[in-house]
Order: sequence, then structure tokens, then C-alpha cells
Amino acid sequence: MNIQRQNWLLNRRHFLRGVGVTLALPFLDCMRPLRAAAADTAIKARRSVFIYLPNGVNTSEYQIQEAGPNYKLSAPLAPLEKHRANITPFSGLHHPNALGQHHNCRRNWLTGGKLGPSDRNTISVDQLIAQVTAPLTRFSSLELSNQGGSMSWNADGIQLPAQANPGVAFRELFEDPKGGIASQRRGFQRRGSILDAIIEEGQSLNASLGSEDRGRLEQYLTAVREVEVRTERSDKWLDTPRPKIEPASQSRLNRDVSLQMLGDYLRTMYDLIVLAFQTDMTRVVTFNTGEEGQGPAVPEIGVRQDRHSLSHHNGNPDLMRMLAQSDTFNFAQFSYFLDRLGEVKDADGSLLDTTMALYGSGMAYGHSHGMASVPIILAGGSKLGLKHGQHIDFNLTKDFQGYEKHSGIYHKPVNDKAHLSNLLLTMAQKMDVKAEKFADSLGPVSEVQA
Amino acid sequence: MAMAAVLCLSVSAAAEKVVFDPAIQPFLEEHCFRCHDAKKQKGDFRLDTLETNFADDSAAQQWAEVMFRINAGEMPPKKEPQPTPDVLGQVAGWISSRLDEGRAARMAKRGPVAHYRLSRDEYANTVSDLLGVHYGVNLPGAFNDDPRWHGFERIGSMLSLSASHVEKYFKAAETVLEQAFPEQPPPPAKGRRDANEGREKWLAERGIAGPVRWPLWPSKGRDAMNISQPGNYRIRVQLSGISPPKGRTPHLSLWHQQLKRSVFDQDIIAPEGKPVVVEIVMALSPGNYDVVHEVPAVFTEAGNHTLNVLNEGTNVFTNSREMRDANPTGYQLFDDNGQPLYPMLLVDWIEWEGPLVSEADLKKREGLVPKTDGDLAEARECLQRMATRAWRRPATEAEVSRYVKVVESELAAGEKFRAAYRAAMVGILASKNFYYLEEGSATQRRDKVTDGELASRLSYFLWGSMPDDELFSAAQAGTLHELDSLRAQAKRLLTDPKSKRFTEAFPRQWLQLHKVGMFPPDPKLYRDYDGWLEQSMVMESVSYFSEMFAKNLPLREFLNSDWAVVNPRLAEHYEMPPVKESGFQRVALRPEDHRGGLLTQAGVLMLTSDGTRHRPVHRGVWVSEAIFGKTPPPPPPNVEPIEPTPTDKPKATVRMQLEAHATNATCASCHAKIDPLGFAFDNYDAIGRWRTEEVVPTGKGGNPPVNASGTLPDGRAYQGPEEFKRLIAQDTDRFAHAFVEQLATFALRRVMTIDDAAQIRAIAQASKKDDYQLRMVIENFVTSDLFQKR
Repeated sequence: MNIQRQNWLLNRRHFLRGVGVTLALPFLDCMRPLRAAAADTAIKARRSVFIYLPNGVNTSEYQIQEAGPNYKLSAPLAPLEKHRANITPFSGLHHPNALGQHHNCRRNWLTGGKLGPSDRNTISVDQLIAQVTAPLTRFSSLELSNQGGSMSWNADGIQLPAQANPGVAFRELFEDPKGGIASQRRGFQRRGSILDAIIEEGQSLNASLGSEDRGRLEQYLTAVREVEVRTERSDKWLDTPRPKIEPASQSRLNRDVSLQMLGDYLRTMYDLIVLAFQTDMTRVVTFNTGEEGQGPAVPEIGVRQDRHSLSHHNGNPDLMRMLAQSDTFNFAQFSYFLDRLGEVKDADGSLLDTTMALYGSGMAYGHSHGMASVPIILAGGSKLGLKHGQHIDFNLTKDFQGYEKHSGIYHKPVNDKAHLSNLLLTMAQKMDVKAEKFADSLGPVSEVQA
Repeated sequence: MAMAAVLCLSVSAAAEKVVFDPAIQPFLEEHCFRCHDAKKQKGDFRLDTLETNFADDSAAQQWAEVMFRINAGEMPPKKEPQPTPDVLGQVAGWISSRLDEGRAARMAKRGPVAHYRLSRDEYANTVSDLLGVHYGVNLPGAFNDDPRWHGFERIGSMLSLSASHVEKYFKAAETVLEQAFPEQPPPPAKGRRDANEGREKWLAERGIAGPVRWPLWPSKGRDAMNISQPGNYRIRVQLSGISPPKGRTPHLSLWHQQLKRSVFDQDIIAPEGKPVVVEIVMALSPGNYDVVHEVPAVFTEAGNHTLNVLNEGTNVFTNSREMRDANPTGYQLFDDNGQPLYPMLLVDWIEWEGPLVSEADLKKREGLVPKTDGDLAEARECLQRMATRAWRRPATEAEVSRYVKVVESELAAGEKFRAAYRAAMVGILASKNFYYLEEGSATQRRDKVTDGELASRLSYFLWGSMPDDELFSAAQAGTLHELDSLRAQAKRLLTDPKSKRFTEAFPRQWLQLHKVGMFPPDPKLYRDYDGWLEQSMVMESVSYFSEMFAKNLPLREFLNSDWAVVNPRLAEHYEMPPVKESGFQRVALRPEDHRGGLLTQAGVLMLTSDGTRHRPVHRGVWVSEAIFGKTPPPPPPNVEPIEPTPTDKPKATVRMQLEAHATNATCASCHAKIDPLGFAFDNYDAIGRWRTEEVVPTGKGGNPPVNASGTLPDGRAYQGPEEFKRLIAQDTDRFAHAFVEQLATFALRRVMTIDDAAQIRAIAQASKKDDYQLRMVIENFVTSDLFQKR
């Protein structure tokens, strides 16, 4: 069987050369043999997770006033007090391309890309990282989203789909497809020969079109070729058994949870991410906890309006109070996630030490779509060279007049060098991405580096 | 950063001086050129040479920057002479409209070969028509949501493709073919449940003769059936549905336990002594199904004795008069005269059978699989037939050869013949030729579709699916593009039952009904709201469209009418006299009903609300888009932050709050056009109920009265929604133009541009002599130049 498979792989490589690969193929270099992957786990596994909170926050409650190590966590951030040594809140960060783009800000939160209607988005930082980590794990990345839209864009600027149901995500990660190894391998082979036919077919049309006219066809060929690479990768992983999951975890995670029980839902998703990291199924995760237009309400604490309506509070103190409650609630769930990461042993520390978690929003002051100085918290990753413990306030420039007249600074950047892409670049570099620049980054953020 | 780069470009281009549109030329001369011309080029930016071709991406981006600077109040600089807010608004509005046009042109751009991916629903319809298989495209893990453009789910430039889409197409192809050509056909299963089942002896011992019924009080459900094979099923339920005076109409729902969603719903009106049999034929996915009486619960306290008694197996219900004696300590469900105290369903039995495979389904599969194992020549013939049908065009020999090769390589790998052949079929369905509609030729530029492409265009427009044999033949004969032939085919497709897919899909997408229920109303504020009402709202607008279509009514009646189509649930919601039957039915309206036309339907009023309050601006935008075909410019970036309003003031309506903020000039100039289209409906709350005062939870004093008066952008004043509807219904020409544009966007799968405007106008004008009857508009569109333009 193995010999046959090797032949098949050889044939496929040959085939790819034959048709002439002209397109940028993400993951094409992901054929690293398993032995190399095994060796790498002896080194520290590096992990990243990106979590999105829609609609910004109640800035007047959220804003941390003091910069530096002696800052006081604001009331909504109080649930993170116990993780103070492991987190860095930022003020002043922004994506220049998001300014004035309203609720499109989620689309470029991890890409920094342009958002005009005819602009194509660019690769998101998680997918850039996945290009490095993909050869090492069974799944190159995991996209979760409670309302459908993922945070991840591929190299072609196409949004990746996300899984909303924790049970379905659990089964995809941990359950072996039916039929045993031999039959699965046979299935992959079969898919390989079908892909040959399909690629050849697309290629023949492609050849008769000018390069400017290919449009959709080019997208199609890239997608099909990526499936080919994925199929090879799945084939490679067949001989490695999936981890066995304890029954208690199984019954907790292999289920659908209603958004009406938001806390349960978020904690289940967070537990799933922890388990995916713990079992090294993937090293890159994005989790969108809500669409900009309909961030979930929190019925369990009596907040029945979606975050979008709360963020357009029009100064109504009831709505502003509920927005702050919803913020606090969401930060508390994030704090739970950090708890769980801290509990799981990894290398000579915990998962929290080897995992960088970015939490935040692309919006700051939702009421009038202010997107400068967005709420951002970076946590964990001390073994990857991150240093925490202070509030890094990029707004503190010589022109800064304080947070009293508060909504203005959320509309126009006070410090136009404080690009959010700088932080994304920093994380990518810590994940061993060999890049000096990401999107519109101006350089890595030295303040969080040990 | 990026901006500086873009702006430098314009300098180096060293372009000619441009003559601008008179709408902005004076403004530019007075306020801009002084700094941004050849001499000064302040900020490295020249405006006097800025390209006005907005379809050009880089020009559009620079204009967007100009608008941004103006709106943000950065330009003209504070120390320079300031234009009036009105003028600023006009200039920003002019740029914004041009940007919209340019964007539409870019989105509608077609190369020599255009690929339009099938939407989820179209995929499902196509495999159903191709192979007689139902594929659950909406099931978890099946297909991803299709991205929408203004509600439309089939815009080519939106439907992109990534690897995970391709993987899903593979999985779908495998599942569909497994169902169409199973290794071993699943034996048809049958089942029946009734309340006597399994305890006949027990009942006889207690002297209970005859049938026992399941009493389903509000929210009570019963395990009904377990389905193990996906497919078409026939389900029959005998039951009665009774209600106290003014109570909710009893409502039967078939509930999928695993998916947690209802797959079938119907109001039930049938006296206790005269049960009805509801027969449902539908595709079911595997799982457990309950019959549920889906009206809001009245016994909410779980686990108490009075409720437990009702749930006991020993609780035997034969009829309402004996109910009390059987359970003296349970909740009382009927009064002493046998009248129900709550809405009640009384279920006698449930029967189901399936999967049903019809003769028609079997016929579709004929000749697609070789009869003789090992016969590669026959396999080639079958694949040829399969590919030709699935790809909606003749497959060439070279194309088929690729899939014959799949059979061969599978055989070489040791697979049995059938399995090897199956792999090739999977390939045909996983090929782009299946899930893309292809228009155009690689080798030749042409601006008209071929007859083959036209056949698919027509069938995907009116059936949401592939052409049938007759339409294929007309395309093959090369006569389809002739107008008589095309009109005849259109008429034929429109009378076919499959046209129901059009009368459902089009209004859903045009009216953006996917937004209904997007913001679930706060249950504290809107206690009447429930899932069935939400569904009914969508079905009302769809049924209204079907009625317009069936009766071939003039477009005017979309805007205003003296009739409505409602079901019992909506009649309650609208406080109309109760309707006699279950299901949707046409009723005559009284003035006090305050309904008629699309604009005052609950779904339309709700889809713009946010769960707590109605949103006049969103309603105005909706009216502007759906009725006038105009998308207002988005709010400008970086507007001055809106300062919060203190709320220890008297209660204010949403409108009063909006008007208090309408001080920013750039905002005000646009809102003056949008808001009046929404204020007219202030008489309807967030779930579309009529009201004369607005319930405001915070603030001092009483609830303020509603003010639903205003002035249309053309200056005509209105007092309330009725007059508003009357006024816009007088202007059917304008609406007809917008309606044709919506039809064309749907049918041609692209955004309409200025280049299409003349043809759209021609179609509308041609329909005027027939009083804009709906079917005439559709036929005129199908036989227009626009429909054959590529």
C-alpha cells in the first residue's frame, strides 16, 4: 500500500509540473514528511489565536487611563485582573484602511487590506502564519464563527468559510471518517484521479484565454489545486492516529449550543480551541464571536439586544450600561479561555506560555463608527518572546489632550504610526514567519518583546 | 501612506486639463483649483486633471479620497473661504453617485468567458431536476452561505470560490450519486403511530373502547417518526385543531430534533368531531421528528404536579367532556362544556412512508449508468449523456475522454467496474462545467449569448434550474433566440409548476426578506412575537407576489392594494377579522386594517427594525432601494461624532431624536432625501403592528404621539402611510423602471450599469400599454435585447 501511495505522489508531482504551475499556490510547500514534523514537536510548538469582538466597546467605561506598568484595569476589563502578568492592553492602534469603512472593519481586522467595493482583500495574518505551520499539523488552521463569517482571507483575498457549530467542528477535528485507513487512502487516490481530469479541463480553457481574461477561471484553478494539496496532506496524515478524547470532553464539546446561552456557547468554543491546541491538531485559530451587524445578545444577564443596537446607543444611559455589561461579559469569557490555557501543561510551562491570543475589535466607538484606537488585548506567548504587564498607550503623543473629550480620538488617529498591522507583524514574526512587513505595517512593536 | 502613493500617480500622469460636470465645475474652480492645479499641486495632488472615468479603479479611489476630505471637513481648509453646507452636500452627493456607477460597472465587467456560480438553491434545484435527488444544501456542513448583494444571492462577482467550496462540491456529488444510484436501494419504509399503539390491552382492561387521541396543548410535542434514509416522504396526520374565542389558531409543526428546526408548518382549523387529514409530501433528512403544537407555552413551570399529570402515560384522552374526569388534579384544558381554554391540537394518528422514488425520478436516471459491467464503450456513451445533460450543453469527445480515463485509472487501481464508473460521474458533477454557468467563448468576442446559453439563462431565471428536454431541443434547433420562440418558451416555463421557484426566490431576494428575524425582537417588548409569526411574515410577501403573478396584476398593486394575502396568524397580528381556513388566502381590506401593498406588510416593516425599535432611516433606505432602485450614498466617513443626548428629558420618538441630530450639514442634505421615505411608516412598530403613539421606555411623561407625515423628495407632502402609498402608486413609471432593473439583476446575475439603462427603460415603456401587468413585464424582459446581451 505504501509503495503504491509513493508512486501516486510521484505521479502527482509529475503531473503538476506537466501542466505548468503559474499561480501562487498556498501550502504547496507543505509536503514536509512526517518525520520532520515529529522532530519539530520537540521544539516549542508555537500557536496563535485571534478572537474578534464586534461593534467596539463602551469606550467611556473601557478606556484605561494610565499608561505603563502601574495602570488600573477599567471596570469592563476587571475579569482579566488575575491575568495581569500575562496580558497587554493597547490603546491607539488602528487600521488606516478601516477608517470610514463602517462595519466592514471586521473584514480587514486580520488583513489590514483595502475595503473598497472593488478592492480585493489581502491575506489575513493567520493564513500567512498557517503557511508556516501547515506542514506540522493535521489541520492547517481552524476557522470558527458563531454567525458564519470567518476572519480569514486566503492569499487570493477570498474569505474562508467558518464553522459555527462546536459539535460539527469537534467531529471534523477528532472523529475518524468512516471506513478505515485503507478505504480512505483509496478514496484519496480516487479523488486524485478525478482532480487530474478537472484540472486538465480547466487548464485547457485557461490556455485559450489571455491572462487578463481568466478571472474566475484562475480562481477556480487555484481552488482546485489547493484541494489537491489538501488531499495529499490528508493522505499523509492517515497513518497517524487521531488523539483519543476523554468521554467527558467528548460529551461537553461534541454538541450544538444555542446562542441564547452565550456564555455556554463561548466557553464551549474556547474549550474546543484549547483541546485543538493541546492535541496539536492545528496551531492557528480564528474565532469571530459575532458579526458586526448582529453581535449576540446576552439573555442570561438580561441584555437582550444585539451588540450592534447597543453600540448605536445614542447616549441613552440604559443602552450604554447594557453595552458595558455585554463588554464585561465577553471579557470574562476571554478570561476563562486564558484560565484554561494556563491549566494545560505544555513543554515546561503551560499552553498559555506557547500560545499568543489576540482579542479585540475593529471598531472602537460604535455609535458613530469610530475606528481609531480600537480595543486590543494581546495575551500569552511568554515562551515565544512576548513581554506583558503594561498598558501600551500609543495615543500618548505630544498633541494628545487626554481622554476627557473622548469620542474624537476614536475617529481620527492621534498617532498615525500606531498601525494595528505592526502588532500583527510582531505576532507573525514570533510564529517564525520570515517577513519584515505585513500589509501596511511600519515595523514590529518593540514594547511587547522580551 | 497608501494615499500618497495614489496621489503621486496622478501627478506623474501629466494629464490634460479636464472639463468637469457643471454640477461640480464651479465648486472646484472656486474652492479647489487654487491649490490643486498645475502651479501649486498642494499635497502633491492635482485635481484639475483628475480623470472622470469612475469605472477606472484608480480614478475612483482618488475621487473617493476627495469626497472623504470634503466630508471630513478637512477640505477646503478652515482658513479658506467656506462653501455652504448645502453646496458641500451636493458635491459630495455627486461624487458618491458617480462612485456608485463606477462600482456597478466594475462589478458587471465581463471577460470573454464569464463564469457564474450556481447559488445553493440553484444547486439543489439542478440536482433534483437532473437526477431526482434532494440534496440538503442548508444542512450543517453542506454548503456555505452565499454572499448577497442587496439581497440577491446569485450575483456572479459575489460568488467566489475557495478550496473548501470545491471540497463541498465533491462531497455533494458523492452523496447525490449515492442516492441516485445506490449499491442497494434502501427498502421503502413505513410507520404509523397513534395513541392506542402498544397499550390496546391496557386500555381494554380499563374499559376504554375506541380511539384515544393525543391532546397537544400549547408547545406540547410528541415523538412522531424516525427517518434513517434521506429522500422524499409522504406523511399523513389526522387531527383536530380548536381554540377558545380570540385564542391563537392551533398550529402544527413538524420538528427535526437534531437540526432543531421546523420542516413543515400549518395552522389547523378543524372541530373536535371533524378531524382533518394533513398530507405532506416532502424531502426529509435523517433524524427524529416530533409533531409539535407550536404556539407560545402557557404552562411554563416545568416539573410541577399539575403539569406532570397531563404528561403521564396514564392520562388518556378520548374527548373533551371526559378529559376532566380522567385527570382531576391536572391543569384544566377544557371548561365544563367541553370548550377549550387554550388552543388545542388533538392528534389521532401519524403515518409516513418513504423514501418515495417516482417514475419521473427513475426516468431521469435512465441511460446514465452502463448496463454491462466492463463495457468501456458503453461507459463512454453514458458519460457523454450524463455530461451533456449536467453541463447543459453538448460535451465534446475530448472532454468525455478525460472522465473515461478516470474509469480506467480506477479499474487499474483495482476498483470494481461500478465503483470506477461512479468516480467518473462524481467528476462530472465536481467539474466547473456543472456548478458554473458559462457564457462566452474563449476565441471570439461576442456580445450576445448563444442559444444554448440563452436556454440556461431562461431556465435559471424562471425555474432556478437547468433547462428541460424541450428547452434543450429549442436551443439545439438554433431557433430559441427568435422572439416568437423565446416568448413561447417563456410562457411555457411560467405555467410550469417549477415557476414556483421563481415566485419564491425572486421576491425573497428583491425584498431582502432574509433580513426578517435577523434582529429577534426583545421578548419583553414584543410578547406576541414567535417563530411562526416570523415565518408567516416572509410567506406573506412571497404569497403576495404569487397572487400578483397568478392573477397577472399590474405592478401598481405592489405599492397599494385593497386586498391582502394572510394566514390565520397574520390576521390575528393585523387585528383583522379571523380567517376561516388555514393557509394563506386572499382577503378584502377595510380602511381600519391599514394594510395593502408590500410596504405595509409586517415582514417588510420588520426587516428594517433592530429588535427593540423601528428604524425610520433604514426603512427609508429600503424603500429607496427596493421601490425606487436607488441606493443612497453610505454615511460619510469620519463624520463628527454624534454627542449623546441626555435622557432625563421628556420621552422622545425615534424621529424626534433623529431630527435633533440633523444639524450636521453634510448628513442633513442626504437624510432629507432618505428619511421621509421611512417616516411615513412610523405608524407601525418594530414588528409591523399599527399604532398611533410610540412606546418609549425611558424619559419623563407619557408616550409621544406618532408623526407619520412628511414631504417626498419631489416636494409632494403626505399625511401618514396611506397617503404616502397613494402618492407613490401614482408614479408607476418610476417603479416599473426600478422593478425591471431588479428583475434583470436577478436574471442576468450581475449589477446593472448605466450602459443598461436605456434597454431597461425600453422594457418598462413597452409594458406600459398593458398597464404594467406582471407577466407582461416578465415576458417583455425575456424578449428584450437586454436578456440576450452578454
